[in-house]
Amino acid sequence: MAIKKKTLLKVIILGDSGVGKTSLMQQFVNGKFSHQYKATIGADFLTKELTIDDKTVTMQIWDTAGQERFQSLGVAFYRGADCCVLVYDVTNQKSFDNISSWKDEFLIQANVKDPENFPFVIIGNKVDVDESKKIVTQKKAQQYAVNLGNLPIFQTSAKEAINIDQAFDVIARNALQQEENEEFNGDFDDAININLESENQGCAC
Amino acid sequence: MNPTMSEETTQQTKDTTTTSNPNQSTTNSPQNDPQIRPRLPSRPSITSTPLSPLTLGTARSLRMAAPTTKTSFENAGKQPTRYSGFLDNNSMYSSMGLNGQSNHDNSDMFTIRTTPTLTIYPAGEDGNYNDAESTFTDRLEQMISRTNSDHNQKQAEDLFDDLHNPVIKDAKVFLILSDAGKLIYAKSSTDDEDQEDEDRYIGYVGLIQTVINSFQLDGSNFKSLIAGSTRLVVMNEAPIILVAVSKLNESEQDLTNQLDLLHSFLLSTLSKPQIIRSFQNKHGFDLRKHLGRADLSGLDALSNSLINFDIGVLVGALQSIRLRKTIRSKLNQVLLNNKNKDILYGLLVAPGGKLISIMRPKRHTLHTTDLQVLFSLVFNQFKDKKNNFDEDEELWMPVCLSKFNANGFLYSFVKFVGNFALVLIAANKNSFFEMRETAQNILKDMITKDLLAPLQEAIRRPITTLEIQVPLVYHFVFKSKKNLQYIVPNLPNEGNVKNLQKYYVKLQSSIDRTSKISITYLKWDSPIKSSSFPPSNSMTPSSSRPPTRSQSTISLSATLNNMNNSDIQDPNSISGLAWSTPNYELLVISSSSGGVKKEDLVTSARAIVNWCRKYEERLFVHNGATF
Repeated sequence: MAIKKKTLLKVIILGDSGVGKTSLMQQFVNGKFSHQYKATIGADFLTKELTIDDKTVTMQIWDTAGQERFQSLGVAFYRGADCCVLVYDVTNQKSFDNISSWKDEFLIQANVKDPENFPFVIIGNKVDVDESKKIVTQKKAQQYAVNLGNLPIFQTSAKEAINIDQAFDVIARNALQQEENEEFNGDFDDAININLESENQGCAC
Repeated sequence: MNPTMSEETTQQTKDTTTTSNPNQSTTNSPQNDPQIRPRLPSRPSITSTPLSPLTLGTARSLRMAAPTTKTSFENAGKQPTRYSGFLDNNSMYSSMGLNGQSNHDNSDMFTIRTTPTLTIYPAGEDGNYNDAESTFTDRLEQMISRTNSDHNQKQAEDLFDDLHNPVIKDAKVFLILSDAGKLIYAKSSTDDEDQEDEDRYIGYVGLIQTVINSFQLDGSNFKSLIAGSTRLVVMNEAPIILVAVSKLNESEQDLTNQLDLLHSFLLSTLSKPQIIRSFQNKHGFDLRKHLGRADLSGLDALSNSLINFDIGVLVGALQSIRLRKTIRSKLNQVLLNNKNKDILYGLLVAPGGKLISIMRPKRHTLHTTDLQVLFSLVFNQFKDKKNNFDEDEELWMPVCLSKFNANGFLYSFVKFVGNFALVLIAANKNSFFEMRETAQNILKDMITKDLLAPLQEAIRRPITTLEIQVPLVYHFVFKSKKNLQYIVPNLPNEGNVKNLQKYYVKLQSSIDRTSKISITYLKWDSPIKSSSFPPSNSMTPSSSRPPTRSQSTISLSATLNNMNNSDIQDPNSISGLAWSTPNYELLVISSSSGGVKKEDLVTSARAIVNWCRKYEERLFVHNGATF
């Protein structure tokens, strides 16, 4: 029926302040990394076109601010997302511990119909740092992801562009799957019930 | 008998007849009439209160000002009493920046609280966010009014470089998005073959959705903003959001009317319940899945006509075809004689959506917007590639006429005869064969009664300023408020009405809607580019023009020469007159060197009014054929 259009995927990136959400997005979309830290205020939006198998999709990435004071953007942001990316910093234990609360926050705000099956992807960022600085081990993280519902997890570096494309490929595939299910299948059979005859009694002219 | 129907139709009658001008009237709101339950507004009614010339550049300073600007918020429930004055003036128009102030105690106006902020990557390297409160407006300003700052961008080896967010440089853009921020439709005035509008604007919709939602979180509605010469107007019909961006000096009301028409068009193919249901299970639903090729080309055609200036939408009326009274009554008789029990409405329509005749139930009329949508569907969606209409083709299509009833479909039988269309509307979706038979009988009768030829002739023969003998007048729009129809003379030399948009938009918005009679005289001193007005020697009568009295030709040719010369040596100045009374609205444009004095233009305007009133029954479809 409808003509083929590029599928639009809405992807939300969540995580504590400073874990590298914006950098991940910039690395993925523009292949660039900035050493400067600039706090995201509110949110930022970038789009990237991808081909998944033979399907062209436009990924609309909503990068949110990790800072608490911007959290009230919530509902507006999360509504209608096709995939949610949860980011932590491998050098920051607290950001890792907060992953599950970000997940819960999203599920509450986005009012997801089927929370069990909503696609999340976890990203542990900044793996380029010295081993000595890594606090969250890969093993620990993987176990955690399994416990959260067998979520896919990636160890990335936005700085060195490690694992970024792989992570976003999975993000896009999961988002596409989410976008394509729950298709609307109502009918278009809403005729208006009108009975003119009874309404215009005695108006034959 | 269906009680719902009775309520709906009573309201319809009100919309189109009692309310002389649904565009501006605010008196007939459903709330005032206990008989009528609240329903979709006939047309969003924003009064003509002049908008405050708020620009984004000044928004920051306005934030500090005492709340005396013309700004109001729609959340009557949450309004502190001190703002009640704003609500009274009904200028439902939310400005940037002041939002935070109205909802928080303004102890610290420089600190943005939480919501109206968006990421900015400033061009500077220091990344200083102390001025965070400015980022929201800055970003929007960049989005809308930044045009040629390419050189600045090059200097900054900054992330900002890479945002690649296109800048809205189009003179006009329509965007339709879902309230999850997914783009449904985009159309701009720029014809860019390399990049589709959708691709260019996909990056914006998230931002726009966030802005709208930020205001909603604060309990207010974001309606419109002005940045320099750009106006952005939002119509929130959740789960659908419509946005218009215009640099053409159109008023908020103009753009709101246009968005309303686009929304009505969307509803015409989907209906309200279908749209609601689509998003019910899934906020992120992609509504484009419900839009077929025909729907999109219909949206394109309608958006293009709005971008290229549609007088009917500006004045909120249908154009009518001039017909002799005897022909009119014969047509009505033919329609009525062949009426079958399933017919709700019968319409004869000329290309361009010009109304020839209408058959309708005595107490029910159709809303102008519904008819504009229907005519757009009929003429844009069903013509072949050569712009011809196939006479053998018969169409049967479900249409949701949203002002009539947004919750369901009516069924339209459409058949083209020569250069006009016969449209029969029924509520029964199984009545195709009855409708076809009726249509055939109507056409047969029209032929028998010799009505086809005069009709074709009437469609071909335009009204000219020559026959009204108003040589000073270049072009005019006369709208009969009672009939919600308008006439325009033909433009000399195939002139493009688009060139008159600037003047008509200004004239129309100059009308003082608060007073019964309003006359405004405007003069544009800045010479217009020669290309924007066609050469005036084209005013030479065309052959199809009806005979005019010779006495007018002398003064006419004098004026023509005058206009000719000035066209070359010294560009004409344009004067215009807007004249509104409870019965009619007249917009007149005149072009001559030095301009036309107000008194002279009033004299011409009076002549037009007298002429239109004299031939009123010829010019407009009155009641039509009622049953």
